[in-house]
Order: sequence, then structure tokens, then C-alpha cells
Amino acid sequence: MRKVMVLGIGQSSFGKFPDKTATELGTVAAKAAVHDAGIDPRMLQVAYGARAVDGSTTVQDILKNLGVTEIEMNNIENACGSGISAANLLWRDIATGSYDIGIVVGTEAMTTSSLAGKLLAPNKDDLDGQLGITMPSYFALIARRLMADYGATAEDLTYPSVKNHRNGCLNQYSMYKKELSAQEILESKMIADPITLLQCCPSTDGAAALILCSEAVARKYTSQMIQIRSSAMISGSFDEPGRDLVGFKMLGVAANKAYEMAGLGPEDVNVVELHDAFSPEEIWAYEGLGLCRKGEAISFMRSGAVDINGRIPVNPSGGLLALGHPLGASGVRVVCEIALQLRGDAGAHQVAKANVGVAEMIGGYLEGLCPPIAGGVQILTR
Amino acid sequence: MGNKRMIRDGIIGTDAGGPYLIGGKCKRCGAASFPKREFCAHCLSTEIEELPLSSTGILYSFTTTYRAVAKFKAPHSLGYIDLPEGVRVLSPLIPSQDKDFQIGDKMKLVITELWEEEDISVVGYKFELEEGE
Repeated sequence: MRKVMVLGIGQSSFGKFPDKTATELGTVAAKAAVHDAGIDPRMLQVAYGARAVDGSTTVQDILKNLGVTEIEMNNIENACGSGISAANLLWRDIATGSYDIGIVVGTEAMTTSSLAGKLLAPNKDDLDGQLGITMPSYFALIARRLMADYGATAEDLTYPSVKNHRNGCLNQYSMYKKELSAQEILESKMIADPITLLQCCPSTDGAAALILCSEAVARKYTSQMIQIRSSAMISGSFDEPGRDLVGFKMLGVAANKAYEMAGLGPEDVNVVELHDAFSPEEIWAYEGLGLCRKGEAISFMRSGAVDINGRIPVNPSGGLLALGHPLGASGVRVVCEIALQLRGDAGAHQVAKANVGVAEMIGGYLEGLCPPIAGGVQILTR
Repeated sequence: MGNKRMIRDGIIGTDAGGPYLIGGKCKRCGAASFPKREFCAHCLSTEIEELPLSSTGILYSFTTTYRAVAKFKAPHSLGYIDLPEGVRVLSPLIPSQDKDFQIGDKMKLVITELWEEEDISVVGYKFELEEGE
């Protein structure tokens, strides 16, 4: 396997842009990534688009706007994991030597999509979906067990939202630049108890793009060698009788695979960007990624370890909660954010001493399987 | 009116003891599931026998959604019920006037209309607190 380097990153602003299409948002991000890489866009040999709901040829439409045609282009649809799925495929293309340079563009025009204003739900013929499960209610069922099994208080559950909104104020691309108190979050409208509105990520329009290349190409264009050391993508497992809802089995499988491939462990990690669609979900993910020991997620969080100036800052960008969650974009955006942190270019939301970072994105729900259904973990180093 | 259909065929049975949920049990390794699968998710055997599930169980977790979801109006309560056969069932919950749900509550099965569409009554299952809870 060859080393895979991050050469270019870019994103659009995240927010409500109902007059912008997924292609327009994606074009902004792709042009920004090409500019950041300092390359001629016609050097690109392969392209992946990621979006959860859009037309069928999004990435061809975007790259047409950059003057790029007649190369391999694929569009990936994998729920909230779409972006990291696409990044994983490009990583593999470069690692295996199929191509030397390529681009991933994740984009979503949420406010004009069929998902606008809805609680995300499973497929139409899914029994659990018909019985009324949605992504917020699934994470509410988990949050209730975090309270019962781990002694989490209602205020504990708001903590990632408080922290990520504070971080979001420092990021120029955030949808929300407003600090929130635990009390404001608890007093906001109940969505699926114990999850309130301000513990849910917003519905967001936006895009992110990532250019990956071989080491030889990277050396010609940059002195900042940011490597994607490993990439693991995995589907949900069959549900098991009596399984512990808090035990994050599938994420642990993906994370362990990524750590093993990188030859690194969670103790080496300095910064993490992950899918915090719901505030309690972030708490749930600490253990899955091995950031703390089993059963210790609450004391780990209360220690301040995940704060922007803590031992392992989580979501210094503001995460999905403050930055926003354009479904297809988020899995690309987390990789861009980790690369930005490792370069030391994150400005006001830069974390100290970022040498090893983890990007995680997950999504999906299907009856009979243990969610998430599509999940990916990448480990980046400098 | 008067037309009924099940939310899904083959998941609710009835015997002398009343209605029950139809699970499946692998003849080879004993793993149980609800609904019954065509093969065992644990060992992939296709020899699966019907497993009538108990109509009472223990509430493992619960939530109430305060927005309309699927065909349900708000508020809509859902929970996981652990049944003695080793199966965890996701089910709508019928709230009690007298008592809020708590993890560990004893719950019992109710076969009931879930929603109406055009002139068809769609029938499925819910769980409610067992008397005395």
C-alpha cells in the first residue's frame, strides 16, 4: 500500500441557502480545494461525489464547472456516511496505485431536499420505521440508558452541545455562532425525550471537498505532508439478543481496524472530529473510538478532556451541532477539518499539539441490524 | 369500513392463550429473533422454527417523540421490551394516565389498531404497563 496524502481541502459556508443547489455548493468547495492544493484541476484522475439525496450525476455536474471531464467519476449514497464512504474509496484508489490524484466532493442542499423539516427515518418498508423510530428517537433510547447505566444527568447530556456551540463561535464556516447554556438547551422544545431541540444538529446546506494524492505528487506541491494513515469503512452488524445499547459495537470494529492499520492506538490521538448529530451521541462515541475506558464516558467528559484545550479535543470545529450537517458533506468535512488541524492552520479553533487526528462519520438505520449502518473512521498524521 | 390488514404478515399469532408475537428460533444454535428470519443471523442455518414469544416483558428503554412520526400523531411513545426468550422488541408504548414509564417496568402486549389509512385499519402491536406496575 502506498502512502496517501491530503493535498487540498475546501468547503463552502454552512447554513440555510435555499437558492443554492447541491451542485453550486459543491462547486464552491471543489474550487476551494483545487486552489488550496495549488494544482491544475485537469490533473485530477478520479472523482467521487457524496450526497444522501440528490440527482444521479452530481459530481459530473460539479467537475464540469471546473473544466474537468472524461475521467472516472462516481456518485456515492450511504446515508450520513456518504462522505466518508467516498473518502475511503479515493483513499483506496491512491493507496493501491490505481490513481495518483483525485477529489471527493460531499454536498447536500438539505433545505430544498425531500428530507427538509423531517426527523430522519428508515426506509419506507422498514418495520421499525413504520412503528415510529427516527434517528433522534433511536439516540434518545440510548441516552436513557446512558442515564440509567452510567449515571449521566440531563445536564451531562447537553455538554457536547454546550461545548460544540462554544467551539462553533470560533469557526468562520459555522451555521451557528452563538454560545448556549445547559439551561437554554434543556428548556428548548422536547423532540424525543430526553433529547431537546438544541441537542439536535440543524438541517444545513453546504459542501466540502478533499484532494488526495500519492506521496510523489504531494512532494511536488507542498511541504506539509499530511497523511491519511488508515481508513476503515464498515456496515452495521446483526442485532444481538440482550445487547448493551450503550456498547458501540460497530464503531468499535471500525475504529479498531483503523488503529491497527495505522499502527497507532487511541492513546496517540490528539484531536477528533465525529458525527455529533445528537448531543448524547457524542458521549456514546467516546468509548467506541477508545478515547476512554468502557463505562467511563461521563467522568471522562466531566474532566474537560474533550474541550478545545483539553487532552483530546472532540469537534473543535463546532461539529454537526454548531457547524451544521449537510448529510453528504459531513463525512468529507471531518477529514478536511482534521487535515486543517494537523497543518496548524485552524486559526481561532486550532488545538494545541495536533499530530494524530481521527475523523469519524456514521449513519443509517435498518430493522434487524445494530446501527449505525454505514460508518467510517480515518486516522491522519503529520 | 371494517377492512383490516396487519402491519406485516406473519408476525402476530393467536392460540388458546390469546395473541402473541411470532419469533424465530434456530434449530441448530438456538439463537432467537423477532421477527422470525429466513435464516439464523448467528450461524446462517435455514432451519428456523416458530417461537411464540411471551406477552410480558421488561422495559429496557423508552422515549416519547413530540413530533408526528410515520403514521402516528404526536406525542408517540416507543420502547424496547426485553422478552424472556432473549429477544428485544421495539414497540410503540401506550402511556398510562397514572404513572410515567421507568426502565425495568413490567410491560404486556396489546394487539391493536396502529393507524387508519383510507378505509383500512392497520393492526399491529403495542406494549402497556402491566397492572400493578
